[in-house]
Amino acid sequence: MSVLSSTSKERPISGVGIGLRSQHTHEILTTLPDIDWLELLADNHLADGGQSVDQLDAIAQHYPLTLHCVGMSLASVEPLDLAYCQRIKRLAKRVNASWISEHLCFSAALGVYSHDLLPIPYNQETLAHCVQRVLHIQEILGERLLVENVSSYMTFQNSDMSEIEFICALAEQADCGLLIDVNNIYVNHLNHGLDGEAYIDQLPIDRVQEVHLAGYQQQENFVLDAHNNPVSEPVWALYQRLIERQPNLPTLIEWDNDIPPLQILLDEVQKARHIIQRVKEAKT
Amino acid sequence: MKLQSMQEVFIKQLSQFKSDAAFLNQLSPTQSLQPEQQIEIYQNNVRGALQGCLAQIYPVCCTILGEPYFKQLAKDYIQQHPSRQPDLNGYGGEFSAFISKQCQQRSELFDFFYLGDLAQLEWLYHAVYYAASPTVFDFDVFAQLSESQQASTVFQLAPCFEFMVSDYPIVSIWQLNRLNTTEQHSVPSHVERAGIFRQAYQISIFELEEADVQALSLIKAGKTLQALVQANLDHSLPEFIQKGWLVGIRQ
Repeated sequence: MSVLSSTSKERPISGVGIGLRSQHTHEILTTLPDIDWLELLADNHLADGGQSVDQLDAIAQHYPLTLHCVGMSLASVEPLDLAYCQRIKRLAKRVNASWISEHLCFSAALGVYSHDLLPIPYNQETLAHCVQRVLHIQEILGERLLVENVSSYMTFQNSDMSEIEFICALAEQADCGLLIDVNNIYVNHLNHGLDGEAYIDQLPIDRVQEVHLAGYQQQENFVLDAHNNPVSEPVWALYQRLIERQPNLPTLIEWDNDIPPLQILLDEVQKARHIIQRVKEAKT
Repeated sequence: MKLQSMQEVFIKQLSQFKSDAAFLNQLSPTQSLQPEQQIEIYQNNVRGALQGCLAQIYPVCCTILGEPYFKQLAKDYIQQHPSRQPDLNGYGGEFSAFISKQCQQRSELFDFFYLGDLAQLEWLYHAVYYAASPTVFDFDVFAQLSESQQASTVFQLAPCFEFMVSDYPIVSIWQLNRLNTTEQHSVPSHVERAGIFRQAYQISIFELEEADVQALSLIKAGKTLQALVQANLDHSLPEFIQKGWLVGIRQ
């Protein structure tokens, strides 16, 4: 394995967490609900000050934290934004983040940022580029990055690898960790016919360090990875299949739009915990 | 199409909301989406995210114009000003200048001539929200300086304090619309000077006196205490410090 440190040894992550959103921060700080860990959308906390920055110190005292990024533009051919990577590194140090994750996509070209997770063709040219890019980022961060599979609404003719083949090769060649978003697998199943169960079965499970669960939104002729609904039953089923391979995977409930009361997210946390418990009991 | 070309053509289509025939030829239809529909999904995502960002930064402008018109204006802005930084919180800084221009060019906006200044006020509010928290002014440091050193002292404004001057009553307009009490149909033309300050987590917008703005302008321009005294603009300094608008000194 790599000489890179994989995660912070001081605050190991386990169990089920939620993505911290500003609508819930005050309630979490005042009630300290039973959540195993929290994930920060790093890009929302890069400012010099303000409430969100100041509250982080208090949050970090009570919960282990991880950082989830959207701005590295991992697959972009543009030069890496070194200043952005350094800001992420400083934030990770400040909150003692256990690890940092980013999406397998590009978001910027020609100096223009889309603020969206744009898809890439899965072929050798893209793979070689992404491997070098992840290696460079890991060198800057001084730790192993977790790369997340994304939902996609586009199919490139010059893709000659499947998504799972690409991810396995990337993880191996860049020696990175994986963050597996089960909802994204299911969205890609519905939009592209991807075999979700086969995908789960082929994952290099030792490299999977985190799982994301979220809800999608049905559109007229496709499904949108909108993160605005409860986790769907088919996604819970795929999650159980993944947990059966490795019951101790840290799991996160993500909800980014039409954000509901905190209790709704805590209910989703309990559902994930029950599945983990059930799988563990079945194994013993 | 090589990876670099693909990404460049892809991103151009997103900011211009047009599709590129050569790019579409590189795509395969899925079971339910034709290539044109595939790129449209990303165009809608990007437009929606940036429109939402602008509506969040400029809520009073949005209220005054109404959401449908504001969204159309935002779409035009996005086409002319694609995002050029990874941090979405930094997007939208040129909206004030854009909207000022639109108010001169579009007949339906002639009555909203004050909107550019109002947008500037909202941008400063946004900047103050994310600015670093202020430190407390250290009187001891100042007291230990010799008289000549004190004269050459330059005061530092708190990063979470901003001010601006408008030919229009923007503070009044902002307050009225922020409280959703009325719409502005007729705006008298008189100067208002706005101060924006964040104390703890509370941001306030308030009117400043003309002399205060003159003093604050000199401080912002890096003028010394001696220059403030010579301009007879030093009398408000204790009040500025007490309110937390000044946080330090430099020689």
